[in-house]
Amino acid sequence: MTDRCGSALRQLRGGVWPVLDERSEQRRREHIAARVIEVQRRLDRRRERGRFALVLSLAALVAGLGAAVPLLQIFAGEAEFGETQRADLPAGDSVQLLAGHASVRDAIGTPLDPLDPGQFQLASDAVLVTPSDDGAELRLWSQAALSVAPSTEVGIVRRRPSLDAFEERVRLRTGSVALRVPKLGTRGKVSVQTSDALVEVHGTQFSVHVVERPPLEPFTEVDVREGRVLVRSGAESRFLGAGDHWSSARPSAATPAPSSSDTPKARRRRHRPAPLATSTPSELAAQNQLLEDAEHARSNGLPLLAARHLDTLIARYPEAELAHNARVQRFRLLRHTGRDAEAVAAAEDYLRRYPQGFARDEARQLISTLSAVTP
Amino acid sequence: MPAWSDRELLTALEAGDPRAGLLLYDRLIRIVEWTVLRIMGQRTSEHEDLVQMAFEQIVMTLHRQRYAYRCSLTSWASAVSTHVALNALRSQRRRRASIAERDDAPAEPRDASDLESQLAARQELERVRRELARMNPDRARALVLHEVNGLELAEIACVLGISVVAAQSRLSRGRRELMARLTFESGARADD
Repeated sequence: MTDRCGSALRQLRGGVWPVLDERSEQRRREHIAARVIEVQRRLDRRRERGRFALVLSLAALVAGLGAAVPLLQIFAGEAEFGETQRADLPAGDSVQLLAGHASVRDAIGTPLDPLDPGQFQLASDAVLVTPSDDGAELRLWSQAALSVAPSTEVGIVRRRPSLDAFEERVRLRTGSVALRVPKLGTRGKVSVQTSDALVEVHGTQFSVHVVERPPLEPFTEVDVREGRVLVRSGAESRFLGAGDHWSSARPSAATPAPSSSDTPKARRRRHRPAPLATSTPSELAAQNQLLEDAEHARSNGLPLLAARHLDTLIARYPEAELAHNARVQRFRLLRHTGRDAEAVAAAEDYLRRYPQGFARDEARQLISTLSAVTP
Repeated sequence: MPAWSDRELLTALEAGDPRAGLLLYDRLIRIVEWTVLRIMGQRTSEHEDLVQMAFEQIVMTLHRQRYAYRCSLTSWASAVSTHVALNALRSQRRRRASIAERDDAPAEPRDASDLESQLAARQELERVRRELARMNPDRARALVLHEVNGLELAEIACVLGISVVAAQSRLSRGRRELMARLTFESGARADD
């Protein structure tokens, strides 16, 4: 049936079509080319008008709020406080530590206790610090996934320019962060600020790195994996697309940098919907769920969380068939995240348990490669 | 004319460079025109309008940043043209345009002994087009992109913004639906 259908359709490919004479073809070429440019200009004008209208409506909204807030305060009997709305709102319990280790330093630099996984309060003037041997993975209030590299210091500030709009800004002092930002629409914005650059996004996946190479001044590097970001640095302002790399040390260097994580397969994995938290009718289902959660976390740029799911699977079902796969994925994951010593240990553990395992050659190669470079 | 890559061409277009219009035409006219002709089956009076409409749609989708350089610009143009032509085919069917109106039909061999089989083949093609216009639009688009324009599954997934699995599903369901429609019509005609 398929062949018959295919052949019926492929017949549509056949046919000899009368061609336009040279003069008509030339006329059509010029006409359509002019039309293309005209449509492009019309769309540009429409976009400009849209931006202008947005600014006007925002200004009207702000003016309206300015008039409404004192009235509301009078009615509520709070006018005597006279406190205007703060631009920087406390983050409250909106930040969630998913995996890894981090601690918080308050405004005067006093180190506090290490954070436990789960939600925590992060004041707008506090700094989150990761240790030199581990990173952290966080879920922000905007549902953006923030992966914080080891030895990194970040602050998180939330602003509400109007009642229905918000901006969440990650202030990167040192180190690196990677973000995966969901679609926020026109009212939400997530940005990363360094000492010399501001990277604004709406729905994308990218990383920002503060490079410190004394005696040079620290500079910022941005890599975009998906979507588009707007980078502002001094007077410069430019859009970066998927695969682009930007550095404030070389302001004009926005070059495509193909990434292994941007293959069609990787993209398909990234677009996979989040696994549902369903009950586990059997052990096998639970193992499958853990493996799927690990894969989902990994493809969303959360390797520590992925490793955590794999560890859970291995700890709960050490002898299960899927634990074999989990151990293989674990040493691969550790290697890809640059945790070489742990990767070697995981590969050795794998070989001890599965001397004839399907990934034995890969594990041996990993050990020989990394042992040669790991001190 | 400069030898621009797709990315350079689209950057120039975004910047309003007048050369970009001509280059875009030269790069895409073949696939746009072929797609429209294959789906419509003839160079109708509205053919030039459809070609222009396809180009306008291409510029609009580029402006809305739907094209993210994940496939070639030609594949993207193929998908947009397919969409435009299938829509035109549907509205043409709705208007019940006369099949006999085809003064400009594809040239055919003039051997008298082949006339009967040529006529049957032509009627078969007409039936395929008619059913394409009637069937589920998403499936019809996937079918045309694969079987007529020769796009691979991964490319179809890319230009339609769906997963490869979804593209495969649309394709197989589309084949089943088209076959069922063609078989049903053959059966109905035999009954008559």
